[in-house]
Amino acid sequence: MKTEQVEKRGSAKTHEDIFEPKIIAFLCNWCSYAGADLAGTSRIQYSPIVHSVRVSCSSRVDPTYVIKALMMGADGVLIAGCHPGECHYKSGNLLTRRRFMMLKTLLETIGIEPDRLRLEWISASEANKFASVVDDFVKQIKKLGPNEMGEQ
Amino acid sequence: MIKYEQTICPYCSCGCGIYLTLKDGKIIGQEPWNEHPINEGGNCPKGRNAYQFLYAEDRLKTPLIRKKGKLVKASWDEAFDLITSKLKEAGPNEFGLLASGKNTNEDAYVEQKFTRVVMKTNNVEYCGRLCHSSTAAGLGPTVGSGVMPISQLDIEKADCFLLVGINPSETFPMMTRRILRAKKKGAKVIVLDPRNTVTARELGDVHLQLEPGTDVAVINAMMKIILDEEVENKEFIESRTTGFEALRDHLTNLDLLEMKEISGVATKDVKKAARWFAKARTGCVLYNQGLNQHITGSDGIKALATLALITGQYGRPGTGLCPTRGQINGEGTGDMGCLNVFYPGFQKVGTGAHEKFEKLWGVEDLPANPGLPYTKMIQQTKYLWVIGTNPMMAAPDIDNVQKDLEDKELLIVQDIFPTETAQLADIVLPASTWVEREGIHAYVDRRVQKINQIIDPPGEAKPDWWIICQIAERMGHKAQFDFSSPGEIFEEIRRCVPPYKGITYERLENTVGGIQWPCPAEDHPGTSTFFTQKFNTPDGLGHLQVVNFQPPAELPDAEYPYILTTGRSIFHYHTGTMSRRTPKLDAEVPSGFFQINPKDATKENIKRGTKVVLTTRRGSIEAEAHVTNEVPEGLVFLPFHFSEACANKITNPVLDPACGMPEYKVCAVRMEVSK
Amino acid sequence: MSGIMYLARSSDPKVLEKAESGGAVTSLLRFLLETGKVDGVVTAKARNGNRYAGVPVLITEPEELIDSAGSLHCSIPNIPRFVKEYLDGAMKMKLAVVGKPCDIRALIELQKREQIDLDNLILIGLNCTGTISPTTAKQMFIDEFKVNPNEVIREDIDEGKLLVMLEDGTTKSLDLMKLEEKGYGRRENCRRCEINIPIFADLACGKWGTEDEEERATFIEACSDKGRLLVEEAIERGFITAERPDKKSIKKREEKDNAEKELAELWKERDFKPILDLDLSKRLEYWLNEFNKCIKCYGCRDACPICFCDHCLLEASRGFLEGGEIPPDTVFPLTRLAHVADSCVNCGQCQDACPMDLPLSKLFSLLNARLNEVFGYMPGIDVDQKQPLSAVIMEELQVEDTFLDISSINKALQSKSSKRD
Repeated sequence: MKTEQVEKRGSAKTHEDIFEPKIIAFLCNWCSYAGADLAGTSRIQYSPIVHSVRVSCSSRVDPTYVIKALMMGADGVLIAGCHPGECHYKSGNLLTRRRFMMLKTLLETIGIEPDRLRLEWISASEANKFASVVDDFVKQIKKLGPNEMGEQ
Repeated sequence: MIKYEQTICPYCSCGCGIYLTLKDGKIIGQEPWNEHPINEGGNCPKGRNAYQFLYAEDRLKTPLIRKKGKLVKASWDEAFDLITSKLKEAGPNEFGLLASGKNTNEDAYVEQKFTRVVMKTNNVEYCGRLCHSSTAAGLGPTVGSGVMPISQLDIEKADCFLLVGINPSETFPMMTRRILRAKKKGAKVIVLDPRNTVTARELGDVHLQLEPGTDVAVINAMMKIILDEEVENKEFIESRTTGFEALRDHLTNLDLLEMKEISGVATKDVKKAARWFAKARTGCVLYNQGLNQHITGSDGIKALATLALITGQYGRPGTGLCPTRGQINGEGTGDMGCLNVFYPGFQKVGTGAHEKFEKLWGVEDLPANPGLPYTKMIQQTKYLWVIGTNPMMAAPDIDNVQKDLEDKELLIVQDIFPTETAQLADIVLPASTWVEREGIHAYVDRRVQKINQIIDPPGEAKPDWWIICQIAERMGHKAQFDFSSPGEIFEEIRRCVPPYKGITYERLENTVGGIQWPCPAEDHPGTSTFFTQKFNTPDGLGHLQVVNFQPPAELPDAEYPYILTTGRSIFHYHTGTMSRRTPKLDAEVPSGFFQINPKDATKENIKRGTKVVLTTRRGSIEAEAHVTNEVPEGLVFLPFHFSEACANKITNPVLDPACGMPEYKVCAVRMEVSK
Repeated sequence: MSGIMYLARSSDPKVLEKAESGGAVTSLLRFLLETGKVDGVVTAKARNGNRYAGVPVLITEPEELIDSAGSLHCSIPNIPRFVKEYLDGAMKMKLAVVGKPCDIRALIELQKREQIDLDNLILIGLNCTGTISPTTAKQMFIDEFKVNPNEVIREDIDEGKLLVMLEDGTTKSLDLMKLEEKGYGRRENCRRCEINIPIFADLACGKWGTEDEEERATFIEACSDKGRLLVEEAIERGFITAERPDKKSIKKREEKDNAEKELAELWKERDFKPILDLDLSKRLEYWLNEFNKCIKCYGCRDACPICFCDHCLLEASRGFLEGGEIPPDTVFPLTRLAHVADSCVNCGQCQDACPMDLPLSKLFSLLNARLNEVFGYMPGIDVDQKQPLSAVIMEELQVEDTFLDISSINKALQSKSSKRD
């Protein structure tokens, strides 16, 4: 890949309105996926562009999945798990959080906007929270612009 | 006991140091050798997986003789008896020997001595014919010698690089390492390559993406621009060259627009390149098969050397034309005289060299006429001994190669694996290799380094030199082949080959990074830079060459609308004998593929992974498509490492008349999606 | 909380002659071998007497120890890899391992990953202010010191100077900072390293604190019970003699340590600032430019003592990373970072193994420094301090933040655990 592509980022920002971000969301089966499901059945409106991946626990998300998603051109990655203390496997989400902290620091050190990665605690009943998190994240990513790593 | 043993990587000619980890007589790992000056602890992917091939399952362990159509195990005595009785029947010049770019100097020396003393013919060649014979024919008349004139270490001194037909990021990563260091200090890199290789993308500051085989047009254009803008090195031309007037006339009559039409390169880019190179303080030219493997290969090199001469980029550390030989002993096997027109030390057949060696060897009637070059030897000999080279993958037009090999009275193949060529042999002899025997190699920059024996060879495998000596003895020539160790052979080499005179095994053991020849005396440190005072031509001057562009032999037409070019991948080595038996390398690129431009792919209905039949006038092969912008429209690139998609089944065997170099890099091809 | 300090000397005059300081380490090793307390000793040895070719060795015969006495500043043997890769992580043998602080730290990190059995090891740490790459050293000796590298028999880094001693007994000394500004001197990672005294080993041995002694001595700090027992027994059995250092010597050692720490901070600032000053986009451009030089040799991964997977995720046969292309996808360096950066011990072996001069040591130690802050974790100094990505403390169950303030949680825990000790 060429480093000229890094410079393209600037021009993409002005096309905010037509930029359709690619966002991957890793949702844990027990809480956040159920929450997303509830949002759906409750007909709560939220941005449809997020691609969801259901995992058994948010800690199933290997940091390398996040890295690979970003390198393949995902503009944003959302990980959503149970609130601390509510993990189906007791402490899985605590591991998730530590990985998230590591990844944020890694991204910033490399020069990829750390805000492209987000962690949220969303319980099975928090359908509204799910919708507002998604909408907010999409807005945030649109502001950041396309991930230049995707231009290969 | 775990021990770290030093050795040099067996793959390419950079000559990188590595440690092999030894336990109970077996190599169990490898480690960086940080002290080695060439690579300072780094290695390329092949170098980091250097030893695994030694333990591949199908190593040849015993002699094999073909009985009733099948190769069966035999004893050394049986094999020797059969070979000796057959060779005694050979008439004058019916015998030929193909030596290896991977055998040691000691092996090579004995191989050519056998051919000349016992078989009384100059039909001795090696695979160097297929890669740098154009160098000999191109640099010989121009500067008098086809060696790399500088030390690899000095590459990083250059402030301008001209990379012609070479992809060092994949084929000589240690040179790329030096170029990168020079770039950090502001050096500029010019790349001439029809493909947008990783070298062009990552190293190149200007990429002259020319039509294949049009290097002469671009180089001539560069020279014309240099003269037009008066940035030639007048002082150097005056004091160290001859033939300028003829060159100037020739260039004056060139039309830059015509050169642009031929090559497809924008004149403004050629101008940029020309100016950078002419004005550089230290201009380094690295070139390889992209320039060499054409019917105009020697022409291209003549033109390139002339460009370096008129800009004064010769004769100082870091300057000059660097032919980048790819085999660990590509230089050495040539030094030892495994060439149809050279006795050891490049003493030319027909100039009285044979008389000199008659005295040195204590024999009479050494052959005084040139022998056959490699591809002709395959066609015209009746008794052929093939050592450590694989013409069934490496020579062009292999269907005909196969016919010729099958037609022989006797085909002996001496190798480490049952290669594609060994499959056709009458007799197969198992050789020991690399750290299974002792000997020296001369790497790309004339750097002589020693390989020590670290492990035993498998089964009954023996060193190449030993096998030759056994036959020589049985054919009545014990006196000239009375060697019981490589050390004894090397002592004779030192007497017969002046550039090696001052090199000893002991000095090599104590000198990390080896000694660059010529080394005339035991207290001489070796020679890092050539041509500092004069060139190796009879008058000591650089002879400027007038070269006219000629197109490749077989260009696209309606029936075969694409150009096929061949080349390499970093993860494999040549015909794949070693690298495809190394699991980690094989996993990177497990099967034959070819590169096609996205627009062409769409036209031909090809996607990534599509199996496609590639057909030329020689035949067809099937390979998997990689759709990439590395190749421009109209060009298809095929690496030659894969026997199931053997590139040389379809390449053109037409030769450069000056040197017998096949035109591997251009022929016409058509494609059909496999059914 | 410091260990018990000794000024020790070998009782063997032959060792005293060859040794750089008091020869105590050589004699301690001899003690361990002769009494059968260990099956072997792992240390660095100049291969065939070549001081630029120091390689790890396993010594099982006490007579062989004398050849490995003295330090090799101009070699960079990968001791922890030797133990991990070729000695099965010392799972089935008792070893004494002699190493620099980074070597010891790597071994401690490997213990946390169950790749090594520290119970089988006695860790003898040596003070270190840095090593020099052999090729850089030789060039520096020729260009700057104007001496023949083959005539150098010893080097010393002390009080900002690099001193060399030649065969003929003469010495030459040059300012280290000046050399390093020219591109000579110590390896990059060493310049930035602030861990000079390996107090996390069983013994920390060195020259600092022995300057005022009339006869050369080794300053030993016994940092664990294992270490203390070793020294006491060796004294009892007559292999070494020892006395207590006075307050002045102890202070001198501390001062030297602090001076080197300060210098390390300067280099860190100097090396990291240009990258940290770049805005995100330029920073990414910088790293991508470097990553594009990678030729997928896996040298960094192989050399890294922390990397230990049998079948690495990044191998072509795993199907995670596209095979056969260079430069490999950026997934490659980022995966290595994600897997290892939190535990990087700054040994610099990755940088030494890289054929394309990628600034790996800078990358890994920069991220490591930031992760150290985030997680309050210092790799390799405490075998009981769990790796940050798998260390979950039950207290975290009460915290709702998505980004923890670990330092305050850790502080609370540290006071709890010190009470336990």
